[in-house]
Amino acid sequence: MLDPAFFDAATGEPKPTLFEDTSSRGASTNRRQYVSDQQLHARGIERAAQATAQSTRPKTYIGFVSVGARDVRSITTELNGAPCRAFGVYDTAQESDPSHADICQLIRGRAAARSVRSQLYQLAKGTLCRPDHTQ
Amino acid sequence: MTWSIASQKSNPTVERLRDEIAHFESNYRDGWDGPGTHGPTKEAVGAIRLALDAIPSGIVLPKTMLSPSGDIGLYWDFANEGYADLNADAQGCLSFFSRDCKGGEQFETVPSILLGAQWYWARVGRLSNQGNRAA
Repeated sequence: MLDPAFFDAATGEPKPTLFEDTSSRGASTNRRQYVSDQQLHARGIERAAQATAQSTRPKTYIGFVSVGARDVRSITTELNGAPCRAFGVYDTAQESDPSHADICQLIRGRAAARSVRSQLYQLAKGTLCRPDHTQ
Repeated sequence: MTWSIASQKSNPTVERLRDEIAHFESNYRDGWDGPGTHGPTKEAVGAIRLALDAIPSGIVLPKTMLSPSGDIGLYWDFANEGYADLNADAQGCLSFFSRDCKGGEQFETVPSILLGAQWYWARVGRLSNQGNRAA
């Protein structure tokens, strides 16, 4: 998380809108079996510095949240009376980042989007890992 | 059931929420989260301010959130008892989503004229035991 708009400082939890990218450009993520926590934190800090340099808004690296791919893929919402899988988790590994993956929303519709966003938010709660390991 | 109709306009926590919305309006411009993202429009800000001011005493106060799309919202997280969010889009149109403790979901567009004590108690108040919880 780079922008405080996505973070509830009072509870140390992400806000639901952190997961909005799944419905548009795909939510970039990293597979933890291919990258260490220290590497993730280092990349986050670097990204924050780059984003700050390119923007008028300062960015601060807060930490990362974790969700299991199987849990994400198991999120469903009801469409036409039947449960419909909400997200795809795709291997989008790059030469510079073999751990890279994307979470993409598979369903359309405002009601469905709000439903699955809330479910993804619930999955991520309680998982924030800060670089200094505080909550 | 008696619905409290006293406004929360003077509650200091409501003031904090108003400040957060004002902060979003003043500091988040198009591109704030990268190319293709948008700051909130004055219509969205106006609509969510109305929604916040219409929350009656006794209803747990929400948290604020901002989407990369520029939508601005309020959300309530009652943990295992449910979740709800109220969203204002760029045109200032409001929509409401909730998920109760049994997984039952509700989604509706909300004409701002309907916002008030009765509306909030019927939709947010029903999600949890509205005891003395803080936002």
